[in-house]
Amino acid sequence: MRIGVLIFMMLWNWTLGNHSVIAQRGTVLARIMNGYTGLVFDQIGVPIISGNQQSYSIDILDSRTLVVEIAAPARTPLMIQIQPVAEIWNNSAAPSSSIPFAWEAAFCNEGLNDERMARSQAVPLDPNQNNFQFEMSYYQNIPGNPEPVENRVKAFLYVYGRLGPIGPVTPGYFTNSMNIEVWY
Amino acid sequence: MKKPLATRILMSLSLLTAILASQQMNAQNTGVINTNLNVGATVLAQLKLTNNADVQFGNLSATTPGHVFLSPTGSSHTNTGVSTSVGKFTVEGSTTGSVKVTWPANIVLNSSVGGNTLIYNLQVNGNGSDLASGSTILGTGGLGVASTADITLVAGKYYLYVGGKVGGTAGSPANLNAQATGVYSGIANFRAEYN
Repeated sequence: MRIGVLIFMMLWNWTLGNHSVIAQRGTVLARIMNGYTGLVFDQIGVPIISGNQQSYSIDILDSRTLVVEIAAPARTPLMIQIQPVAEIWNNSAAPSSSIPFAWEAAFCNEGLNDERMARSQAVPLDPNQNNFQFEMSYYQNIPGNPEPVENRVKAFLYVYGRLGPIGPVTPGYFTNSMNIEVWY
Repeated sequence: MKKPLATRILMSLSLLTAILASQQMNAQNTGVINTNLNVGATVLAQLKLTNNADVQFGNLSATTPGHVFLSPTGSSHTNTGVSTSVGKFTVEGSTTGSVKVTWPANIVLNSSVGGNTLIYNLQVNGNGSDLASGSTILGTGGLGVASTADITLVAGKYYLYVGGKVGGTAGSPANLNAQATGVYSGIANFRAEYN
């Protein structure tokens, strides 16, 4: 009898613990917004040509800017950590060659669930500001701002930057991966 | 009274499980969401446009029974001289690059003698292979009208063949009719750029 009770307690504890963790994970969401193809500098009519020594920029208002959407209940403390890259590489060439890349980012945590509204109020991060902490703002009840879903308010991180100058590199596709972590 | 060993083990396990569950509950406020962003760019090879041959209509009669036509395919010329040359350019760039080529639909040729002129309406053909006879006409409107075309490089190359007609007016070729004698020449500027 005692043994049965003990086994029941063990199972109950195990079940309770796991459900709690899963539920908590569901309260914070982070994703790259729809249409993600990466922060790609290719643009029709503006070819990037080996050896032309030019630089190519994507600014915050550019449609190629990457948007990371973070959704969490108001007052949730969060930390964003960016593991940046300083170069992109053509690994199919031998020897591989690289192009300098200077990332930039801006952040909006104004209780705006509409990405376009948020973009206009985003504040650029300081150069080399790889991580920062914040608390999710309360939802701003203003016209045009979509209602929160499941109590989550949104914050937006915008990632863009400058590529170049383009040296005499081997033509091809250059790439690298930036990692962004949202800690809660 | 001392409890049996099995019971003690189970109690210890239960306690351990409870502690672990408690730790999990305490940890519920922490976590990390990872997002990977790819940064990328396609770098193209430098674009080159090389003039391999100039256009030569040869020695022409001042008056011709028909249009003076230098075919870019290299054959079926009409009313040209015996010694002719089709103009040729080579476009070189990225393996499968899309390139816009522009040229003048017509130019004025000036005589070496006096102020006489002759209109030259260009026809530009193209081919991904270095073969004039297999080339096809580029641009919209054809001879004397077309002035731009989008081409796709084949293995990083594309070939332009230039012919056309002399005589008449811009966009409207005609027979030569008592054309003043002399050596006529002019320059047609070709331009290539990536799309």
